[in-house]
Amino acid sequence: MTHIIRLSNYNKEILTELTTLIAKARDGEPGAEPLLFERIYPELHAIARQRMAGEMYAAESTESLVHECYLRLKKGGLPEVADRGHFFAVVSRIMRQILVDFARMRMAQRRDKRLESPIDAADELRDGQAEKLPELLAIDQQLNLLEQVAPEAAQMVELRFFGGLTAEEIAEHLKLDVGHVRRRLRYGQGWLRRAIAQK
Amino acid sequence: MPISAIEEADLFARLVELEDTDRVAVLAEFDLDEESRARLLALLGFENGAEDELGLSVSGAMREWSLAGVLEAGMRVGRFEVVRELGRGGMGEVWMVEFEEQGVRRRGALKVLRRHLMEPDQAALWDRERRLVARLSHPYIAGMIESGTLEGGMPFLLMEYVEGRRLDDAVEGMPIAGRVEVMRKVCDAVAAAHRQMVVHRDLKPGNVLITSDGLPKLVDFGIGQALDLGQSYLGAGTRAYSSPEQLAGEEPTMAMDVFSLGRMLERVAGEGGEELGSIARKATASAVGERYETVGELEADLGRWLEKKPVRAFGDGVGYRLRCLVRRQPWVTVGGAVAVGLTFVALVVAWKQYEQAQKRAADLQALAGVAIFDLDEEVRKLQGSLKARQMLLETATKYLANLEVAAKGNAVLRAELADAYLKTSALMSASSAQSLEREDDSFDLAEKGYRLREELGQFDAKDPKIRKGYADSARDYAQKLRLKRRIAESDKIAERAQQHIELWVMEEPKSWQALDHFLFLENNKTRRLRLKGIDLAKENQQKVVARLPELKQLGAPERSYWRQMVIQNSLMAGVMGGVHKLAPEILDSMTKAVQAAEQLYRIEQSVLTTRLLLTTYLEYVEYTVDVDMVIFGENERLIRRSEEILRSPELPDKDAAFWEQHRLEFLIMRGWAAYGRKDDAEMGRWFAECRAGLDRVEPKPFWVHMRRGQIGNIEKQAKERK
Repeated sequence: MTHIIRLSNYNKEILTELTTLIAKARDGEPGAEPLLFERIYPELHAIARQRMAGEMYAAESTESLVHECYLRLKKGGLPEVADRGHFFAVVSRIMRQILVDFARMRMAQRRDKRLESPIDAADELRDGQAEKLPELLAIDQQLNLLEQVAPEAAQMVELRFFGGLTAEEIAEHLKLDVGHVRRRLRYGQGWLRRAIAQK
Repeated sequence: MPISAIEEADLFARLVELEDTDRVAVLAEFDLDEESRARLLALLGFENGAEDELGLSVSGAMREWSLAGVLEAGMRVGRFEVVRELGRGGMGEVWMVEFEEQGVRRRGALKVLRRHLMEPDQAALWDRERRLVARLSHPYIAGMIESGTLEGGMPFLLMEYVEGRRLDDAVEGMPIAGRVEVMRKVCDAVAAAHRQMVVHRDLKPGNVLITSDGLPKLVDFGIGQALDLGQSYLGAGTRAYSSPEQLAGEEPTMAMDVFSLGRMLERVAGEGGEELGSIARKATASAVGERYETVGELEADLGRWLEKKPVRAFGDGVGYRLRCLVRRQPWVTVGGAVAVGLTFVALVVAWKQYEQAQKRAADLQALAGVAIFDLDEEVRKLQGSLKARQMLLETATKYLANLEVAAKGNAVLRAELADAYLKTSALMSASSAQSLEREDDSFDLAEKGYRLREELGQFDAKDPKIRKGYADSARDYAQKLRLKRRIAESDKIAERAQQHIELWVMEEPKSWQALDHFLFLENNKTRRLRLKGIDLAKENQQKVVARLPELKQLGAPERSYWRQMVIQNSLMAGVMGGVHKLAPEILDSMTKAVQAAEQLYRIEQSVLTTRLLLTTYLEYVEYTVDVDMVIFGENERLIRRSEEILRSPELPDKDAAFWEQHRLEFLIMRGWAAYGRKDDAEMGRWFAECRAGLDRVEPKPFWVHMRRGQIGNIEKQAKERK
């Protein structure tokens, strides 16, 4: 069961165009910034839609994810993007951050609530989904550590799980051999799982 | 010594793709300490299935994120305590909350956006919803208590919380007359909302609650309406109660509400007999034209049923009169018409009057000479308030849509259609909307109008008015193509039109309108020649300027003459712009342009003439400073004049957005002038103020970026000359 969806329809020309636009906008070329955001928006949308496609999410949640991503890009100003690979890295990072922020907020709310209502807590556990948020936070935490000791593997993991890229796509964007990417990915995944289990 | 992560990663890479047995063998080749060995083996173990597990966690979190709402039961947000969820739709959710007001514990329905998605256009939609909902005040509609923003910037609407049973549950056991009476009350409420131009769009039994005193309360007005984002909004309306056109994705209309009410009637009073059945059938007819035209009519028929009076098959009163009126006009088909009761009739009548006024004009020449760019002025004078004009525009647009359908294959109507495109385009400018959508709509109209006229062969018409219409249309379309940067196409259109106009001028040497058009079209030629070099362009433009007195001789009104003077002299200056040694000539042309603009303004103080004056002043100041020919007294005078004009209470159409553009440009003028005086500090102050103003303009049209760039350039120049 694949939980990660490919960006198989990703167009090279679009990526090149976007990278150029980002560079222009950073240089302060008038008109580049609004044009850039106009262009980024649908691309993010495409990413998010593919991301959600296999998961039966309502269209509006795709819209939300993209929109949130776009808002952050806008709020945080333009990232320094050298090339396509970099662009993807930025987007993956943002998506990860969105989820982490959400998870933290929800956990905090639930902690407060739990004190008042044991019944709700039981409901949650029944859900099964309830534990996904703490898992995500654990992944995020360990991923931060992995970044310190094996940055390459960490980046690939981020691109894979939060950006939804396949090993081939990662290999292409980081200009590496696909076999190497696969092995590093597996390393990163294993490392994370080990680290989480041993916490 | 335990190995580093990188070393571990490399080792791992060598082992991971091997079979278990081979792994052991390869591993033995390396000299590892116990700890590292153990860790590596553990890693290999954990890696198995890691991808799936991690993937599950992340996508699970994603799913939760996407399903999560903004609020949760038990939360405290501001002074509200969130109790339970009442509903979710589009991009908003509604929760029942409790709060204290003057010592009393009250309940409310709190509505928030599902995400803090407050992009400017969304903020506008939210504001619109707030205003729409605030307008609704009716005993059977759950009213708005308050609206505002919560901490963290979350906008909210606090509505009356209604406790009651769903309509379909509540009517169980009720006698049929009672049910119909309830439905009649619901119709009353919906009709009231329609009078406020609000469509519910999601009428269904679940949205009508019956309170303990047996009265209905409509909830959920616009829960999705103002917040839908086009393709992302799913399920507009509940299938069973939605009209076919709504399911097909058409824009909300009152006829849709009529349909839903009909379905509800069926649901609630289905076995009420033949008469009720026929009422329901009429309300739920697939073709909009066959339904009750208004909710009021439906309500009236229900009332008649209750009073045991005969139910009228085709309604009566306003609806009937409207339909008759509408039928009498050949250009409106009933099917698809958006009936808004009396309001629509009033607008239709006003529109027709306007057309009659045009035809009946005593000075035919004067009106015939009104170019499309002046049409919007005529409309402004006619209508007065901005809102009325906007309503007229909406009507015009719908009329246009109907006419497009009706005109298929009908030559006479198609000519009418061509005029309609032109007038609607003029109305758009008159409505002063500065949105990009308006620009696109306006462009579409210009294009359609022009193409249609070409098809109809209007460039060759015997009737000078038709020829004029063609010329207007060509000019308009060419200009809009220019704005879209489709210069080549624009030039082609202009050239073609020009040839026809030249013919016209030759055939009618006494017609000042022909000459007027001709001279305007020559501008395009001048611009094109400029690309090749100044001399040719200058020559052409001189020819144009030389013919201006002829306009006067042929009897052109003052207004048209002075307008040409401004534009042609400006262009003359523009053609020579940038060439230093021609500076005296340029200044001469600019001065003439300024004088002409002031003359024009003296004759008429309309939006057009005012804007032209301000623009001409700006150009003058910009130029003189640029070439270091600062004529102090003059610049100061122009700047002060601009200030006076922009601040005057007599400023036409004060609230229009373009005045802000002029104000900002005037700030640039001040900055320019300060730069000219070498007072960089003052220049900085003016430019800072201007920048702040530019930042506030939303959305950002092209001129904002251009002006920002301009300010940047001047500041750079100021730095460099130090």
